[in-house]
Amino acid sequence: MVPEPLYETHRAMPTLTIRYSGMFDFDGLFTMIARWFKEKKFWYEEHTYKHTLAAPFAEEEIGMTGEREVTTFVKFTIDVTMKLWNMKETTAVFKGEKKKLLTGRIEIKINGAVDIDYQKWFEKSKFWRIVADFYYRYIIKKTIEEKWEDDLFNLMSNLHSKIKNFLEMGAR
Amino acid sequence: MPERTLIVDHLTLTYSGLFDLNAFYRYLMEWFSTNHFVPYEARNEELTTKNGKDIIIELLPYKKYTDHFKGIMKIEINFVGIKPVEVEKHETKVKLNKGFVKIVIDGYLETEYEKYWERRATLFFFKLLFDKLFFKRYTLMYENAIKQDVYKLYDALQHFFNLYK
Repeated sequence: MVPEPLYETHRAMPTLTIRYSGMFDFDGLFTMIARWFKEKKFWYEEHTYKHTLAAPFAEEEIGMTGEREVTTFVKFTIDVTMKLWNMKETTAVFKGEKKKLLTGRIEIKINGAVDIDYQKWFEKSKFWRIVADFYYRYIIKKTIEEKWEDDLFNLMSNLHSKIKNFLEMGAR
Repeated sequence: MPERTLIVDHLTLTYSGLFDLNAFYRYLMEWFSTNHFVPYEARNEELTTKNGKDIIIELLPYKKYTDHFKGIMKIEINFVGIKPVEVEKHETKVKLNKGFVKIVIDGYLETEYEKYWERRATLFFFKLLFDKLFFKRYTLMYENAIKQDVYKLYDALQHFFNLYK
C-alpha cells in the first residue's frame, strides 16, 4: 500500500467571503466573473445551478470552478460559490440606463487550492512516495509556499476586489 | 491543529464622526504591506439599512516569523450607519463618510503551523516539551513581536482617526 504523504499535496488557500445586501446587477456580476476566469487563462466551468422559488422571493445557488495548469506538475483551482436569498427582480435606472436588477442578499465564497502532482506521477509506489516527500520538503518547498501559493492567493484577492468594486461596496 | 496562543485580547478602538472609508481601507492595506503582513480578508459584509450602510470586515493578516512561529491578528471592524456626506475643505468639496466605527484587535502566536510534529502523540509531546522548556526564550521573543505589531497597528489606527488629542 502506498503510504500517506507527509507533505500536503492539496494546498488549500483560506476562503474569502463577501456578503452583500441591497440592489445589484446579477447578470453583470456573473458575466464579470466568467470573463475574469477567461482573462486569467482558467479552464472555466459552471458545475452547480439551483433555483428555488419560495413566493414572493426566490433563492439561487451557483457554483463555478476555474482550473489552470501552471506546469505539468502543478495546477491552480479556484472555486466560486454564490448563494442568493430573498431575491426579487426590479427595474431601475442603473448607470444612466434602464436595467433589470435584483434586490436581495448575496454571499460569495472564493476557495482556492494549489494541487501538486495532480497527475499522480509520484503515487505509483512506496519508493516514489518517499522520493516525492523528500523533493517537496527539501527541494521545492520554497517554490511551493512562496511562489505558487502566493500567486494563487494574489489571483483570488484580485477576483475578490473585482467583485467588491462591481458591487460598489464601501470598503474596497 | 496548530497550537494558537492568545497574546493580545480585544484591543478596542471606537470612533464616531467623519472619515473617508476608502482611504481607511487603503491605509490599512498599506500598513499590512509595509509591515510584511499577508492581508487576508476573511469576511466583508455590507447591509443597506434605513440608517445607512452597516459594514462588517473580518481580517486575519498573518506574518511568518520563522518556519515554526507565525503571528496572526484578528481584526473585526464594524461600521454602523455609514452615510456619504460632502464637506468643504480648503474651499473644495470633499466626499467623506459619517458614522460609527468599532475596531477590535486580537493577537495570536501560532506555533508549528505546518503540523509536521503533530502526526503522532509522542511527537506532539516532544514539541510541547521543547516549546515550553528549551525554546521558551524564542517563544517569548515572538510573543513580544506579535504584541508589538498589534500595538503598532493600534497606534496607526488611532493616528488615522486623529484620536491623539
